[in-house]
Amino acid sequence: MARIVLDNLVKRYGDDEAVRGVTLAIENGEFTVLVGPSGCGKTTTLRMIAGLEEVTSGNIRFDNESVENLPPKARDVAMVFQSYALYPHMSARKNMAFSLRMKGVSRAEQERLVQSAAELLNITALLDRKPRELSGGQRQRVAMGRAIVRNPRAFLFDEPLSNLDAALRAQMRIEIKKIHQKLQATIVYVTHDQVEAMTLADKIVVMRDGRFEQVGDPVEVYQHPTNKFVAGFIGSPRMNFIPARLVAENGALSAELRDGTVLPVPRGRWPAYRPYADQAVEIGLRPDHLTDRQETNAPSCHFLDATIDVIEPTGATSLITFSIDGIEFAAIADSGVPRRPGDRIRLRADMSHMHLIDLASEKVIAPDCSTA
Amino acid sequence: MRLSQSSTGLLLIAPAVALLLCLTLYPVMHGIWLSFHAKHSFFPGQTFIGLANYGFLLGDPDFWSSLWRGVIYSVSTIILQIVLGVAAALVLNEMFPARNLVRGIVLFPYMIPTVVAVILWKWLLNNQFGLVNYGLVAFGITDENISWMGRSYIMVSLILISVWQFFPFVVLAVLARLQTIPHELYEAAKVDGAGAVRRFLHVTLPQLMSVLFVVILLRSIWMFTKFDTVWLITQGGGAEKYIRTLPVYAYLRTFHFYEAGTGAAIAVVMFAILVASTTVYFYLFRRDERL
Repeated sequence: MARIVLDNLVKRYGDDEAVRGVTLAIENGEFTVLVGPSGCGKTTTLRMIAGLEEVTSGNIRFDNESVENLPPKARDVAMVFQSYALYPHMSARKNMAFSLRMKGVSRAEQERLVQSAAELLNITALLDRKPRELSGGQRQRVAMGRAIVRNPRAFLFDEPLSNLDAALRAQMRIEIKKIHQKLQATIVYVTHDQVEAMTLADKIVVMRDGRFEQVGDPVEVYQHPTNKFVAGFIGSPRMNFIPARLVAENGALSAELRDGTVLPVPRGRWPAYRPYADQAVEIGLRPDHLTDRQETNAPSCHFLDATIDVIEPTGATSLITFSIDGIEFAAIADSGVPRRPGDRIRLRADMSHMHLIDLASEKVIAPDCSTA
Repeated sequence: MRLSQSSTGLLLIAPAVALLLCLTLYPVMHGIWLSFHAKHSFFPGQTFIGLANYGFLLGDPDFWSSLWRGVIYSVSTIILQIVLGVAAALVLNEMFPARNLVRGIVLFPYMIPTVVAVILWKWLLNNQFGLVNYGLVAFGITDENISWMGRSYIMVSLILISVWQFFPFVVLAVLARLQTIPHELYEAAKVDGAGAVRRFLHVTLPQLMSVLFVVILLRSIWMFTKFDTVWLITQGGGAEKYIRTLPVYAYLRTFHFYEAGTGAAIAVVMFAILVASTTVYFYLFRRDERL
């Protein structure tokens, strides 16, 4: 397995710059997920690592060896495609053995490696079937098997779960994670699904418009997004962004919403937020921290009364949508309490989890200390 | 009166079935019936002679030489059409400037009427003032003009003209298939370590098999029964005997010797050969077509 370094990588199609000078180190055995909306350049970056896309400028290194000018076969990487890209005329066994055959591995060794990968993926019984005789999930496994048999320097996954239904996707996520834990392989994984990114990654790379917006471990990116885009993209349901004005009164800071509601800013954040006093800002607050649940009763909580527009039950909790002064909010409410649209609800805004966003730069202002 | 669903269905397909019976089954059956008779091509009346026409063909050296020439003509033109057609389709599937224009130009020969194509080639191949001979001599490939329509080269000329005229059909069919092969298969093969040749052998060719199966079948039938191109080339030269294939021989027997029965027997033999070879072809090569 290899350590992969992307150094100021650029990809241009004519005047269109798809990837704009990205730099990243992917450690040996690390599971790195590139996540972002459609067209953000994540697949292009992956394809450049694979050698399927020429690099306009910049450098790709595998263990300090520059590979950006090498053809895909010389890079020794395995790729799992969104469409699986299984050879339709070959059985699962032949699909998995194809790369070994290209390398001139002996038949006995091919068979041994295919069997071993098939056992890992529970597809031994499917080896003689053609791709069209397999379900989506089974094809996915064969595609992964084709990658695993090679023992490559890195695995590249291009949205491999997007063609599966929700239940199968969740199951395959676990399988992929297990395989990674077992093989300790360097994996670069592309997805637009932030849940997939959060659950799988050791390192998450959030991309937008060909740039890396934030790189870090999933919990860090979730808890401490560096800008509004990352804050909104990572986390489901999406973070609420509340236009407000930061008001300083007697040394204390609070956020005044457009309708006059005042949400006190936790004391620990005053030093960091003070430069924004008397300025228009945005407050970021995840729906998990805007809730009617009793356990959220910290001193930093502030009550907020709202009229329910929409209720989406998700099981133990429901997603509540309401609006204040024309701005839509999402909150999490206990499903145990019977409610209907139009009902009033008293929510607790846990301001210890607030994020302050500078309107001009859209940057999240670091609170300096972790507690409120 | 209300008809049942099945009666309505039968009634609706009846015109098509009637048409098929009149235009296909009747001529075939009539041809077979005719082959058992001695019959002048234009005068009424015939005499039943059993298998005598077939017996005659068995001992007729012209029949055997025509059959042999027909096989040479069909097999060589099909092989060359497939090789040239697949190669051209592969090139035309790549991106290059003016690709659509070139695609259109490649299809020209197939759209030109046969009579025009043959006259054109006869001029090009003329042994005194033909452009081909001029070029061959000018580039030093030959010392003297080749008699393309003479005994030694007329079959070569016929094959070249036929390949030129009909390979666009292969291009069309193969190009259509090539465009539907998912690009990811090639990328997967690249990542799996396959070079260009292996990608062709392991990705392109298997994907083309289903279309090549049909193309080879159709072209075989069409080339084995090809009459117009061969007939037009035989006109006006002295070497027509050397490209006489079975369809031409059947025509000669019927309309030059006025032996409609013998002509019909030749046609029936051709029909039987095609049925037999098609059956063997299906048996040997028919793969699962759901690739």
